[in-house]
Amino acid sequence: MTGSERDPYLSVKLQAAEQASGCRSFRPDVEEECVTDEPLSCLNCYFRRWTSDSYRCMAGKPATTD
Amino acid sequence: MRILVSIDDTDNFTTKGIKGTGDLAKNISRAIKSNGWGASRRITRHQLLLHEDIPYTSHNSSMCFEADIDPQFLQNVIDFSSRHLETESEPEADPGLCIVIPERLADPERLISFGYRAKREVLDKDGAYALAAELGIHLSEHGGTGQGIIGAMAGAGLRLGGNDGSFKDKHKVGEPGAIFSAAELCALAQVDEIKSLDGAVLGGDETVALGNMVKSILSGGKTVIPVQLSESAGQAPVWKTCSKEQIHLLQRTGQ
Repeated sequence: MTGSERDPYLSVKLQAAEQASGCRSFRPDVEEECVTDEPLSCLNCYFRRWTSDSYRCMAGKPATTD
Repeated sequence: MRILVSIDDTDNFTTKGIKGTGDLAKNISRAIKSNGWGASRRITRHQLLLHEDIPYTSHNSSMCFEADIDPQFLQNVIDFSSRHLETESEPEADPGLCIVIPERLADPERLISFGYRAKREVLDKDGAYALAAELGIHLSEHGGTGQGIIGAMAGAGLRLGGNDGSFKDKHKVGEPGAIFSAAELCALAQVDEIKSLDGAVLGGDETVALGNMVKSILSGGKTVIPVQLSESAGQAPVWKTCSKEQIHLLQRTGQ
């Protein structure tokens, strides 16, 4: 058990929070699938789809962080 | 008889988001108890590979729990779980069910190894079915492509290994900032240990402050609350429960 690694998804953390704050499609995912402590974040949204190092938004909007 | 029940891929892009895979696992767990088939333990969530080659990866996590059942009800558990996945999963999901009887596994390490491979590689259904047949594991698909059998079997392997996954739901033990001794927190949250991120087990009289949330993970076959050092300058160390982000990272990196 080690927490020393860096999580690549969290490199987009600030951007994900900013985008979600202005997004009308945001819908929180079920609790166990939320990954960041910021409740309103694309990282916690049901419409995000993970890629190997980031995510895509599938809520009918352009991809956010490819 | 001890069994592992593991499910995967029950939700999809168009769902209303009301029922996640964890909710379906909880329903099956409750049915085991309410039907008098046996008793279940807590559900773990196991993070598998996040990669664009896995179609529409929203979570790629599986849910697994242990149960002690009367052997005569094994088929009832399989039948109920199968029907539940078929009726409650979203129409476009690809649900899979895996039920393992650990004491009957000739080579448990092969199942555990499959679980860890699913955290690193894109695996296929043929390989999952071949291993299930060799090891005598129940593996079944219940809609769509049935791709969920891969994650379901991986979840069972990771639970069996005892060093992967976070337990579903948060512990409601107090407000952020509340202070407990490690022994008090263990008793309140009903967990086995409090462990630092570098793996040291906290002594019962060590001090733990609650962070924004309290989650437990499966580590060394035990239920463990992971903590990080909060402050220690010139005094006894104060530990703090890990954030959601740290828990997520532990799951992705396999702890």
